[in-house]
Amino acid sequence: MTNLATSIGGLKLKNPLIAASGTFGYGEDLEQFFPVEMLGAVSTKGLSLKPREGNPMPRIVETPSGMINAIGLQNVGIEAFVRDKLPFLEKRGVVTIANIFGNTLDEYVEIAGILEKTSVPAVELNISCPNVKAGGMEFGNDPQMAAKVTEAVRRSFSRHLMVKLSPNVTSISNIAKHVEVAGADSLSMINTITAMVVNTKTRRPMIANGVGGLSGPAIRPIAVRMVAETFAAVKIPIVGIGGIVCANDVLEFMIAGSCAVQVGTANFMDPNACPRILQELEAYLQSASLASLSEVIGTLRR
Amino acid sequence: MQDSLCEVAYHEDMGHSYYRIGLRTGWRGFVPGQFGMLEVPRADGILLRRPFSFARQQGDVTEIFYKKVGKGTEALSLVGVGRSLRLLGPLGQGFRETSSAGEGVGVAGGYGIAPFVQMAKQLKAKGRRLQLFYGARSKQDLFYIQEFKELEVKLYISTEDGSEGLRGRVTDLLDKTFANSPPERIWSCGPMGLLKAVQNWSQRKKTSCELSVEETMGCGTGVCLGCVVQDVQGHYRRACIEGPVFPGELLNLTD
Repeated sequence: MTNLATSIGGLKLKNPLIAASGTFGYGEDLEQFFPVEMLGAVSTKGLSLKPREGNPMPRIVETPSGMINAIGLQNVGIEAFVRDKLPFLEKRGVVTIANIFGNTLDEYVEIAGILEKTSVPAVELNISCPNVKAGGMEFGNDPQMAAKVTEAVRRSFSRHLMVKLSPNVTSISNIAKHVEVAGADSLSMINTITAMVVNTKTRRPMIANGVGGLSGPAIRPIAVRMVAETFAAVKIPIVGIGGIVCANDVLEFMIAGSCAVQVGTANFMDPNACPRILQELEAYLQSASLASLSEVIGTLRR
Repeated sequence: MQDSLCEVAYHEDMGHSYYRIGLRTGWRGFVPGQFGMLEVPRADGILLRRPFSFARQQGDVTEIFYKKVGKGTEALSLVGVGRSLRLLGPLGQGFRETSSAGEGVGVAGGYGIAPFVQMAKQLKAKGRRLQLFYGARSKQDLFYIQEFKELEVKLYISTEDGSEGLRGRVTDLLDKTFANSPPERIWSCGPMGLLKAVQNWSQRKKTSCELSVEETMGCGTGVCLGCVVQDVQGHYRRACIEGPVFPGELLNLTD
């Protein structure tokens, strides 16, 4: 029997795979492929105070080994999530990480306050969405602002508080340190990297929003570097994100200092990506004669 | 719906960048208008699967008709017989059947012809007939003509350059044919301009239409929200789950 269990501080997961926000809906959409409780956790589509329609089309474009998206945080809103979506996740015993974002500090606090009254064990603070005006990016780019929003949400949400960091900054580890001091329980990193593709015939950007967020294997080496750098700078646990498509990618992130990972774009490429990666991880543990996957966390040799 | 590895049974170059590929899916059929997400070889940094609507089911083989338009379809066009590709499908909502036992009416533009091959087969099997209005750029862009003849389809053709059928738009043919009473419903698949024209025509004639939209797609399973289309209330609906075939009255089509 292999042991894939891990924990993000006090948050215990049966395995390190978390479905990344915005790539797994509210946990129901891929039910016909595998039971959602097979995952370590699910990070929900980013939730706002009011429902949002999102950006006009085109919203996505493929790039070399990656893709750019500017969905614009289309979501049902916190109220509908709690009423219509959360019961399914609760019934299935899924570790639910509610990804939230606000246009203002007060909105973040209000959403967190609503979630405090539910069973949700963790909140992931999106202070780094590149695709909406005032959609968190201003909080994620400035160390003081990042600390301020973390501190405010910390006061209204008592359980696990994860803060998702933007890579679109000069020093991600500096932001990480500020967020740690402000009371975050963990960091998830990285969000997408702002990017653009130009249609040379029309001379317009390929997506309606102009810029979008780059994800997929193309950004993985950048993400791994940022995790390694941040692991050396903070004491709180890190959840690695960035182009993970196979077990070897998971190991890279864990060795660099992640205690769990989020799988995002791979869910688009293959709805069975997560179960396949889990199988690969089990096979790895057996072949490497490790008792527990968590043994590899932060074992990067310099 | 399933995700399976399917052997390429045949792969034909039809000329002028058009191809048809037969995949051993083992399916019994699909609803015309439904589609699949096909994995294309991951050369040159290709990441995502590509959406294709299905043309027909013959035995255990499902046929896709496609045009080489970019990197993905280019890579696909080089796949040889005997290789296997992952195919997720059948996905989405296809065309709804009409209640009347008479002729069904389809309007196709360009490679939007695909779903009407299966549609013609299914109608014929029920002793019904397809009236098909088929518009294309020119004669060389018309496909499945022989098959439609065998399936006893009443075919009306228009080309932009007049090299076959009527010179002009396919909606001109609709005007001519249905000068008095419009059909109960029109099924349409093709470029956005055509869908808008059919939507307008149906509105004017006070009849209903079903439109199959073509959108960029990321996942095909509803999670990426990359393929939305706007409805008349301004809400975005996922083409992969609620479509790709939508009631025409529901959509606010823009370019």
